[in-house]
Formats: sequence, C-alpha cells, structure tokens
Amino acid sequence: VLGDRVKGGMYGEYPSLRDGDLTLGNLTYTNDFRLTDSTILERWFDVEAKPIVNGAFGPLAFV
Amino acid sequence: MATTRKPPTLVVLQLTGGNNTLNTVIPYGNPLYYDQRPTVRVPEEQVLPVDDHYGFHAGMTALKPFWDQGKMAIVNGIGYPKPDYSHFRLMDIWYTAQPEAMAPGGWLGKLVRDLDPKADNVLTAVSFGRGLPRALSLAGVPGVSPSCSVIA
Repeated sequence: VLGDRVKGGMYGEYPSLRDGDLTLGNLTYTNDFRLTDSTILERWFDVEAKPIVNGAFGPLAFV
Repeated sequence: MATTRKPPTLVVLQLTGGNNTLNTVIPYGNPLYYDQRPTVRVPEEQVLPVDDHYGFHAGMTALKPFWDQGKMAIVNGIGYPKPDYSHFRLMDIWYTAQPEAMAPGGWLGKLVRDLDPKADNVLTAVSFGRGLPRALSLAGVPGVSPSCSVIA
C-alpha cells in the first residue's frame, strides 16, 4: 500500500517457513485478506466494511 | 481518516497472475528460506534489504524510496479460511470478498454504491484495462472502462 498518508511498515505476521507449519506444502496464511479490504473501506473511505466484506475484520493501522 | 479536505482517492493496481511472495519480500535473514528454496531462492547479495530480516527483490528498486520515506505498508501473510486451491475460485474470492459462497458483485462495486448510492456520478470509479474488473462490477453501479465502453 503506497501513499503520502500511508503509515509505512510491515503489517501482519510473515508466514512460517517451518515444515510443520505448512498447509499441504503451502504457506499458512496469518491474516484474512478482508482485514486489508476493511482497513481501506473504514479508515480511508469511512464506509461500513462489514456488509461489503461479509464479516467483521478489525482494521490494520496502515492508514 | 476520511474527514479530510478532499474526497479520498484509491488507485487499485490489479496485477493478475502469479506473484511469488517469498521472492518479492524476501526473508533473507531466515536460514529456512535457503533450505526451502534450493533452486529458486534469491542470493542474499542480490536482495535490497529493508531490515535485518527482510528485503525486496532487485526488481523493486523503484519502490524502495517509498519504503525509505515511510510511505509504503506491506501486509504479510494474507489468505482466507479453508482454501480449495482452485486459482479460479481464489481470484473470484479476492474480487468479491466472499469466501463462503458465490457472490454477485465485487467489493469495489459495493464501495462505489456506498459512496454514490443514486449513481449520480458515472465517474465515481474508472477502470483502465481490458473490460470491467470483477471487483468493480455490481448490478446498478456504473463503472467506466474507457478501453471498451460505459457499463451501467
């Protein structure tokens, strides 16, 4: 996410590379993509995210 | 926040296709990266470090200044519950923000509907590219895609 008003940095946990943490040989996700969508909808556009992303996902702090 | 002088603008760059996370934001400080990627790993000396653990692929040189100026956020580890490993279904889920069922419209289309409920402004959202993206399509919501036509 790029922009003058973006708070730069790493958000979300980087997926584990340990064999035991993989899911069917794939990286295991650590945060639902709708967390990012909700952040944009609520913190940038000030619209209610829940009906758009079909659930409540607390925002990240990148804006 | 959205309580600003001018209405917020969002530019979505949709790079449709495969992207290799581990070779984009590279965990070069993690020995497991080199163990798990014996053939397609990026050598440490080619990484653009952003800290002691992670670095960008050398192809991201143009993005590095944004990071250095604190204007770039990276969201790691995104996914959704119970993936079925179909890329077609996965893309549809990204566009509709609806992993549990087939949804009729895209999440950006729903945003446009919220911003402009009466569809007063046909230019609330404009798409450049081939056709109207699924994320932006929603019945009753105008979306302009200059390379083809106005869809209403």
